[in-house]
Amino acid sequence: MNKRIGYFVLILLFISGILAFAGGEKEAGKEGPVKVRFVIPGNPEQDADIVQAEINRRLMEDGQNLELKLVYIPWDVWDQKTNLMLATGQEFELMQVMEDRHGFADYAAKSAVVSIDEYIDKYGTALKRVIPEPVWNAVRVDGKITAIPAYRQSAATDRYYWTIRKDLLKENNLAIPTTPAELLNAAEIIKKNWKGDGELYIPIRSNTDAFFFLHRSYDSFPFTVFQKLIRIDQDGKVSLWVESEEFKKDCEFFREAYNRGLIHQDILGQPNDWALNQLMSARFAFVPQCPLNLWPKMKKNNSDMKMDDIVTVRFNPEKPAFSFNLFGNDNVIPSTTSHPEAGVKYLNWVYSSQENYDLHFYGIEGRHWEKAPNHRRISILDPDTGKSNYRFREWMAGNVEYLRYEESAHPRFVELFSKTPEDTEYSLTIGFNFDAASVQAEYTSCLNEYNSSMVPIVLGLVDYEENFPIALKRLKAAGIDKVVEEYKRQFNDWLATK
Amino acid sequence: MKKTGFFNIINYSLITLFSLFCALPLVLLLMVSLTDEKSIIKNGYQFLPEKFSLEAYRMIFTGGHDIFNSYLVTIFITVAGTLAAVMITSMAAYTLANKSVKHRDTLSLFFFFTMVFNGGIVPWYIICMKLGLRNNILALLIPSLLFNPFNLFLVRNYMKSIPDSLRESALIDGAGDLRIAFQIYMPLSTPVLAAVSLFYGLAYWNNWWNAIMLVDKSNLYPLQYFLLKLKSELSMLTDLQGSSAVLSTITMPTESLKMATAIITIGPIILLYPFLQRYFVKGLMIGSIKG
Amino acid sequence: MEMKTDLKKLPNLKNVGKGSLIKDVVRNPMSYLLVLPAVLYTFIFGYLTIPYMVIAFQKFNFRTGILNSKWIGFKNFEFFFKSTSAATVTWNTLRLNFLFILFTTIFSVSLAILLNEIKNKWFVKITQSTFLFPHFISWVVASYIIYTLFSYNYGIVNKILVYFSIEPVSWYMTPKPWTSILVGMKVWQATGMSVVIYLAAITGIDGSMYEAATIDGANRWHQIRFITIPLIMPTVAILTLLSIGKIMYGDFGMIYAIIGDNGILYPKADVIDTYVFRALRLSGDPAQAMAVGLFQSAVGFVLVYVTNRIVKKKFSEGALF
Repeated sequence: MNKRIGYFVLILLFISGILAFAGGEKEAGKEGPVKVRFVIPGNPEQDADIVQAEINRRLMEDGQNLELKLVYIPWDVWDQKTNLMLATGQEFELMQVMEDRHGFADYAAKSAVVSIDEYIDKYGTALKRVIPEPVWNAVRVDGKITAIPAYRQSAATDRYYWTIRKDLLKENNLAIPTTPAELLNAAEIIKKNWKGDGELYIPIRSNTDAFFFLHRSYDSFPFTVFQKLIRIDQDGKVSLWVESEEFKKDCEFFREAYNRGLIHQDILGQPNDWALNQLMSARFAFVPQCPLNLWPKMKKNNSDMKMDDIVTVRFNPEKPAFSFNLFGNDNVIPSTTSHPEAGVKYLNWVYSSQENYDLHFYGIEGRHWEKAPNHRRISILDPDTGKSNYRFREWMAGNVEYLRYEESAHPRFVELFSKTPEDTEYSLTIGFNFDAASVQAEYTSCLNEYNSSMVPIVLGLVDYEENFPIALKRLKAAGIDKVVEEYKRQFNDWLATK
Repeated sequence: MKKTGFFNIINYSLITLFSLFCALPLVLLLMVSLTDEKSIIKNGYQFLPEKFSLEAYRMIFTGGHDIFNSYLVTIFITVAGTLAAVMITSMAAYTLANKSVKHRDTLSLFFFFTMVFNGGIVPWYIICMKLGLRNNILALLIPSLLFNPFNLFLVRNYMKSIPDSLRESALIDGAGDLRIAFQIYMPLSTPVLAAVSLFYGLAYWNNWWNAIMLVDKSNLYPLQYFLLKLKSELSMLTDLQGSSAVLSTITMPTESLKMATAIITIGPIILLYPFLQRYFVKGLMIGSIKG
Repeated sequence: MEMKTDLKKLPNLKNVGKGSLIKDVVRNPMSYLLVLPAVLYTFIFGYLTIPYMVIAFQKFNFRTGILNSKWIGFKNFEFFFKSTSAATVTWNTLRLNFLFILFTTIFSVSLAILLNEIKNKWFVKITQSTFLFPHFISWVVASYIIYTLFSYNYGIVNKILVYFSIEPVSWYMTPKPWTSILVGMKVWQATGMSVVIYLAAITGIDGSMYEAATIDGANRWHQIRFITIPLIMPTVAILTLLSIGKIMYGDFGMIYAIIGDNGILYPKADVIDTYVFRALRLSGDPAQAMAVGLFQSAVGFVLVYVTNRIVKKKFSEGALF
């Protein structure tokens, strides 16, 4: 090949390539209200445009000089498209963040988002009112507020609860279990005497988080478990979770459950929506946490079920509630916008009155929803499709102050999720974000190894005594001790600054 | 003669076996798409549903005339795109197969390199923006679809097997490369061009990526975009670890709906393929040397 | 035959000197015109994206572009290469892809040849169409079908085993058989398309050769062995070489849909792409993804280059470039 021409062409194309990517896209400034492009996952409902028009009309009336534009991105391509938009400098003012995917801290580390303390101070009176100080502290990176949390449910929520079918208990003359052992006995009896379709397995997913519902029954409660690997006690002690006695007890519980036929053999190979389908048919004896948000669907599939038939309880109710997770979603201001205050101003407007909140989340009153007693609402469904024609998902940006539950929502569900018990104790880790960058190879290896060798033990598919030593050895080989050390170091440093 | 009969039996059986291996899952899909949802939850997938239902299809088609428009868009870009792509590909293949072109192997390397090395979505997107491929029909026709080196090599290989003597005699008759390419090589390459048309056609038909990334005008949405919307809520479940509080807000696509979307995608192509098959005719080469 | 004369006529590229490209264009203007659209497209959508790959060596930051980000050498590669799983997933990727190529080729060549021998046109049309069906079934949907087959309690495979008094197997908890299962699934999905290609190639074989062979007394089997197979070898070679280029890229869609988060099967089924995907789910660093991609591309390219040279020496018709 003609080398000279080759090199020349190569250099040419490198230059042109670099020039092509050097700059980002910036729109020319326009007159008129500042656009608030709110990037959210999902697909627009039929009336999305109509509601946005109404929101903008109201914004005008209130002299806000803002214009909302919801930008919907299908789930399948959420990560790719948002990365693309941020990397190519596309302007938008507000973005939804799901903490169980990539957290705000992650975006901040890559300079994808800006800190907003000054805007909160200047424009966020409503925000400050409806979001308490501890929650604001949980969204700080290097001391600066980096996200607006969706504080939509009680600080304690349902991780430490479990739910059981009381009607099936009654059928078998059983009382509500108060200890893990009693729970297993009850579940086994219920399963054996079940006359309906299918089997009554515990509807859990294989990638479930640690089984918090059991932890209340341990003497050492409360303690925090991070990413199924690291345990943090309230006195600041950091250790490897899987090496603890409590982990062993969790595994033994599920091994017992498996031996009594309560765990689906193919739990590892099941399609992802199996557990959900079981819950919607109310086909379970008991299940960790509280699925009562699915109550309307459960009722639809089992018309003679009553609200009292499903109860959510916790072990050792005399112990205080414990919270280590204050919110699961938040909204951030991307660094690509030329109006960083716009997103803050908009959310502040939404939170400044019940009417604004209602409009943004539920749509136009009378057309998409109606008020119901007890601060609830009734969704008006489209007669043709049976679906709602507008719905801004509450979990993205909801707030406890204004939240309206569906009229048909189960009262226990509403109670659990909206009231923070007075005696709630908070985890020491709230506000701390672990940066795995320096131990990344080990961290991902460990999570991988956990998936490979620990999950079968955790789900009770194999025996603890036989398999744990090998699994632990493999975890150590993957570098878990290094990860725990790093976590400990970062955590202690952070504690020292508090 | 006995051997031929035996050979035939083995032949037919093996092919039928593989054919069933391929076809049965689709039949199962079709059946599931027509099954009543409750029956699926109770019994799982079955070849003969306990209860029939057209609910899934109804759900898809309640999109009204939006769906109709998207069918038009898809058909247009498939036909136009495939024609253009096959043209570009076969022209280039001729050059790569042309023995007079001394640098044809270098050119081949030029094309192949990009099959292995690529900068990914971000530069792709920036290039599309800079070229103005946004919210117009070209955005659905050009990026990622208009040319695929894989198909180029298939056609090139086929053309390589066309005897040189044909080209030489045409040159002697005073024909130039253009005429030779269009009037000799391409007609003789119908089998491989048919294959490549199928591949390009499928690529255009199944593409939703361009629409999602480059288009937000709803009258330009292709069929796949609508089907993706229906399926994508399901993807969220794959990653979800958090509380089920989130899950209740999804419009759960039912089992039958998942299958129905697959059937709708496949349907038209299945009808198209037999039409293309006529080009896989044996003996096209007979007489070409003598001609 | 054609092939042998070509070998001698093949220009030795080492002797091509300066300015010969221009000479070539001048000598074959129309040919270069014909190839121009493809070249343009490839330059724009292919080569212009390549400079972006430098982010593999930079600390990724959304704000600074590729001109201003910090250079950190090979650090982005560490998360993968330092991990204990790197060797396993790399080996799995290579092993699975190799088997995929091997078996898909065997099946599609065989089926194409067999189909070609069938006289009944309708049978050919129908069966050939059915071969394509699996291509349209997405892996997510296929994974449900696989579950219907391999589920422990209600799966069809176990039901068959029980019928023959064999102990049922907990498939989703046993890594070993999954290589075979995955190969089987890949063959199911990919054979149809390859059959199309091979049939096209077979159709292009000069019919007079078969006539001459029959006159010489060759039976069907001889004809297949000595005419058909050798003449489609270039196509086999091309397809194989093209697949080798991607041999370090695992079929993410397939593996992720079928294996998902089932860690027990990782030792046999986890590939580079799924591992990286899970790793980056937590950190979401595009530079790291690019680093691994660069590694996969580089190795693939070197493999193809080497293989291509060997093929070129022995069998120039089958060479890629």
